[in-house]
Amino acid sequence: MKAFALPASKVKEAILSALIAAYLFFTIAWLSPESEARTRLLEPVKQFWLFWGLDQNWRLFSPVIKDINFHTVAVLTFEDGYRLSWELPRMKRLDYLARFRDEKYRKWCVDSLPWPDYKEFWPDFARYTGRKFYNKENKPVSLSLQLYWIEIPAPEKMQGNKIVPVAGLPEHTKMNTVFYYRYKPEDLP
Amino acid sequence: MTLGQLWLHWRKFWFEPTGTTSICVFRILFGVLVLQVALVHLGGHFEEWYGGHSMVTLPAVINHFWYREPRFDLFLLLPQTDPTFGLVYVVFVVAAAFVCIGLFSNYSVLIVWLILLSMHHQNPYNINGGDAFLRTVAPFLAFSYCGDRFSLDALIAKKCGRTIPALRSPWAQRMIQVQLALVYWQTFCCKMAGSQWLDGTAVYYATRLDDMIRFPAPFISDNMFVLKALDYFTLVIEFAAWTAIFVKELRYYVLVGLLCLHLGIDYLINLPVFEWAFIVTLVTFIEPVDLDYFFHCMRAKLSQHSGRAMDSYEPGKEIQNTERQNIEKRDSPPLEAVESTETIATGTAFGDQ
Repeated sequence: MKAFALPASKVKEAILSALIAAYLFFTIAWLSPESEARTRLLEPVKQFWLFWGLDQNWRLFSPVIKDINFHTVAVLTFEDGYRLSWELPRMKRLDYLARFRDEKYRKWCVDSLPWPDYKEFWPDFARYTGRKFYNKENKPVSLSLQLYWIEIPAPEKMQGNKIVPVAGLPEHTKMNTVFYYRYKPEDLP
Repeated sequence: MTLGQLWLHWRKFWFEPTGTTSICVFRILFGVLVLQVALVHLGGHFEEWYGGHSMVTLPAVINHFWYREPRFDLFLLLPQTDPTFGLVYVVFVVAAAFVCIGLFSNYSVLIVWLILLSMHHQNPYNINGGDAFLRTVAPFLAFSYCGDRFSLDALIAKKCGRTIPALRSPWAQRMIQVQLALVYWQTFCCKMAGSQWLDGTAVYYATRLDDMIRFPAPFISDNMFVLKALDYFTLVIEFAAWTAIFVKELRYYVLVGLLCLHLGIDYLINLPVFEWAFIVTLVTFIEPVDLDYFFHCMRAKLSQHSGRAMDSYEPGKEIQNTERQNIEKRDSPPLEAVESTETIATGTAFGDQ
């Protein structure tokens, strides 16, 4: 029997090769466009993949880059009618260092929070903001999140060969109220 | 090509022993980036992102991101108190520092990975592609020979008289390379699926997202010809990044192109960690022998400045003949011949790989 035994390194290589091939196969499937075949292929490993954070998506600046500029403002209304306007970290108005340091705030508060895909998290945000600006003498009663926005002028609509310079981009003059939240007693300290 | 030849090529790519300089340099840069995340981006307000008082609460994440299915999350194994979250943060910082200095390198990377994974599962909405990429390559780094050089591990091994082989099986490093290629593959395909990249207006819009602008560069961002050229350059270089990068003769041209792409984006667009996660991973594509030569030249320059004489670059002078063996590898000896050097490996943390 011994004569047929493979050297340990070859067995190791064979096992590693199988694992590498499996990982690459499922990763390529994961990164492929949505389809029935893709769903079926990934079904057996989906739980495992998600549990270990092996899911990935690299649609960086693609397929479409946003053609609007926007920022968000949270407006808190207190018991006596006083309204507090909190502009969520707006990179344009921060210095270079703060912009660099606070990128995670931009990612959450500007890039994610105002959009309908994240609506399940709006009450959490309202409670967080209520606690942040809590005043026991004058408690917050409601919060509304407002999205201020403006389109980036399309290059083909500019006259001649001129395009709008970065320094001359228009202000965010349009506004939508994204959500409104009325505080419950258990939301606040 | 026969199946046997295919298997030989496969083995040559994944397992033919090679120098460890590139993966060890990558370990240091990876550690620096993780430290940046920990100290600069999370330092001082960790509790705003993770724990009971965070902006995004765990029950909401479990309902709407985990879909009530299991996910790996170290935090859930510990008491849900502020001091516990603080302790995990401290462990994260210490592990990242250990990765940089190469102390318990493999275990430190493993801890960094598990904490990154837990943080990304606890709050998946404050991370960008760079953070996700660090998380993706961390397990491969943990299983590589990343502590063989430029590390306290190597110093300790030397003190203890343990020999660290100069050549190691590079499968984990190859996984990092292939993972990077997959990133460029998907982003290239997605770009080709949209109209902006094809009509040349994508960079115009990307440089006008006013919450992401970093430094002004009107000579680039206000010139439509340059913007279009950069648009098409991006497509070409991202295509090369998953094809030509594996052709040895073209690799360094592609690396230079990618470096220019990422540095350019990093100058114009404020996305901390994002560009640098990809830039530092390019190091894994540099031949160890070339990095060794680069370090030799640096040392020579430094000793010139300090007035000390230094030997000319003579492969073979280094301890354990590291550089010599790497130089010899330029000619790619057959797999079976090189394997014999691996059999004397004494192994590092995580044993033989």
